Amino acid sequence: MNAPFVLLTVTGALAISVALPRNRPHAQAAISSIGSILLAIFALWITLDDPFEVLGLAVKITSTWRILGRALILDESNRAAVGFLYLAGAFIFGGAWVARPNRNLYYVGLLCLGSVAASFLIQPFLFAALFLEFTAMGAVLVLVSPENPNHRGGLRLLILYTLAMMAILIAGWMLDNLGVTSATPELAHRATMLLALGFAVIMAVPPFHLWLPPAAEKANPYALSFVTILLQSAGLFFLLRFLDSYTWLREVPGLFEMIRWVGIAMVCFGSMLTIAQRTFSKVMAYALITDFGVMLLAVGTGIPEGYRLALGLSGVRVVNLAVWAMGSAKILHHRGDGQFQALQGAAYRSPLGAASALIGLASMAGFPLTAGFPGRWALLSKLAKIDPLAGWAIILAFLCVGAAALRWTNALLGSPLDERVVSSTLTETLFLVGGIAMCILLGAFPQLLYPWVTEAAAGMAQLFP
Amino acid sequence: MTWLEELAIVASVAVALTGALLILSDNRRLLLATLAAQYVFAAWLVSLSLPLQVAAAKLVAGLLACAIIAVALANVGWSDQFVTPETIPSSMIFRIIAVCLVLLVAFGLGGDIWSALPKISTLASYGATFLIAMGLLQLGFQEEPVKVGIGLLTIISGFEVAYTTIEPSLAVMALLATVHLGIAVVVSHLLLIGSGEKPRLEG
Repeated sequence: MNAPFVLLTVTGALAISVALPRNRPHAQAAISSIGSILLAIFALWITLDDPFEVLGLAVKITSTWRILGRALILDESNRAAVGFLYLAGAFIFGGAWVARPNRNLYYVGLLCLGSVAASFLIQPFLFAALFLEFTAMGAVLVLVSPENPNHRGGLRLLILYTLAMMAILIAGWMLDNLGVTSATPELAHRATMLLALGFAVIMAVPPFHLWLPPAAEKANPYALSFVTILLQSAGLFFLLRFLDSYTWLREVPGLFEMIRWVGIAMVCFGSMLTIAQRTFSKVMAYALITDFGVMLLAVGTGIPEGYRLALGLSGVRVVNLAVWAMGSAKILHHRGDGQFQALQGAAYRSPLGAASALIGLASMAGFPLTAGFPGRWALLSKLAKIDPLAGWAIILAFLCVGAAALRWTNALLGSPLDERVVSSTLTETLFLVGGIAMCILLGAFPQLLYPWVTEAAAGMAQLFP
Repeated sequence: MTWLEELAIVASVAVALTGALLILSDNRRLLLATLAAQYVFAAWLVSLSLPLQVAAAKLVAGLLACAIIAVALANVGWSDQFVTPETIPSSMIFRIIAVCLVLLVAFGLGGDIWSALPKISTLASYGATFLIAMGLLQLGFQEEPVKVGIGLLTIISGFEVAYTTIEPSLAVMALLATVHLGIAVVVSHLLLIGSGEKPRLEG
């Protein structure tokens, strides 16, 4: 028996078991969440390649699964990342108890988790691009549902990821077979351009963000959060593995400066458009683009602390988005409810839902005492020495997304349009209060999350010497 | 030299023609038949660099993808009209001119664009370029799931013709074949959702 086989087959079996109990969203949320936690424990702590005893029986679980000439390997270099992935999945599936998304989120969502896990495990890691494509396919099934039949965002996502997959596969072949180094500038230029195209799509760098706003406008907020968390986390890890594996890539003149410029452009673009939105879901879509830009600024520092901050920001995003999406799902009950006018007074209809949505957004902006603040503050202090302009971009992001959060707070606290009240069950209340508390707790004590999340990249010996 | 290699020019021209027909036709039955034929010719081009059995496996995956879309179309009806975005001109004359121009560009690029790949034959490189060019044009014209799906499958077929010459491992080929099937499943899902049918997946 080998660990990758166990991980992937159990994930598949969980997906099937979740598909069976129809119309029981709580059971589905519980099975998905508990199953993901168990798989995370397995990935993090199982003894690999050495025999051990279970109930008196000798068991040996190997780290490698060879299949059709390629290998899936779970070892010290990636087990923390796989564990983080499944724990993030468990957190999101648990929160779905409140958000009640369509049931594809559990069934297809688990398959997407398995696909991203496989992208971490596959050797050579270049073929992770294929698994990201599968994840994008699953993302379409999660985003487009009978409640949201609009397919525009989903189809664009699929198109873009397909093109990215091809660009990365060709670039990967060039890197491995044509002897691309800093001594072959023309080949290096071609390979870098192809990689830049691929990662621009994966990181939703404008204009490759085109799938996000239409998807945000119509899809269930929780489904959107799940998709963006999964795709972006996988994309960031993939990018870091490229930087870790190819020394010449890190030495391409101006590479990190270019990444910072792209990050600055994303931050400015996302920040300006966040203020201009009149739909709550689209506010989050553009706030996300801003957040991806900040993450690229962290990668663009080109120093280990910067990479760690990028991973930490990625971990914090899981909490921010889940808290925002749980709250949004409570206040956005009908399609079209996300319009500015329709949300007037929503805080009186569902106070806890409104508080959760606003705190998630404020944390995304990097408000003090929220989970988003410590990472941005630390990044700001790093960037002040390396690239002051990038530091100003982070301040712009804080001001613009923060202004949007205040504007929507004003709307949610406005005069209610009707006397309707959306009640919450005890469990929903617990989840919402727990999410808000976690957001504030991680703002006050970032050491609870950051060291652990950055451990996910411990196997990248070149980036983290 | 086998007859497949001697007559490879037929496959290369045929993928260009089928790619063009996929853009020009709005008849769903004809579209699927053309896509299936395109898979036959793409497999022919793949067989120039891989054993015939492996190329046949690719053909089977492609035909399965066609079958999946066909089942969904049979559920939602074959006669629905495609909706073209208002911003894109969709008259037949415009499409014919666009197809001719793009094929000309592809013909001009075909010999050089894959020059970095050491083992690809000239005819396969032209075929790959035609497929990718026609697929991209298809994506530019339509936002309707069937047409977009066919465009994506065409692009991936073209990519595979070139990529299999440099990466012949079975695992990668199996994964790429699964991409075809996955896209077909996604297109079917979107078709059923768009028509108001409930896919099984949804319960």
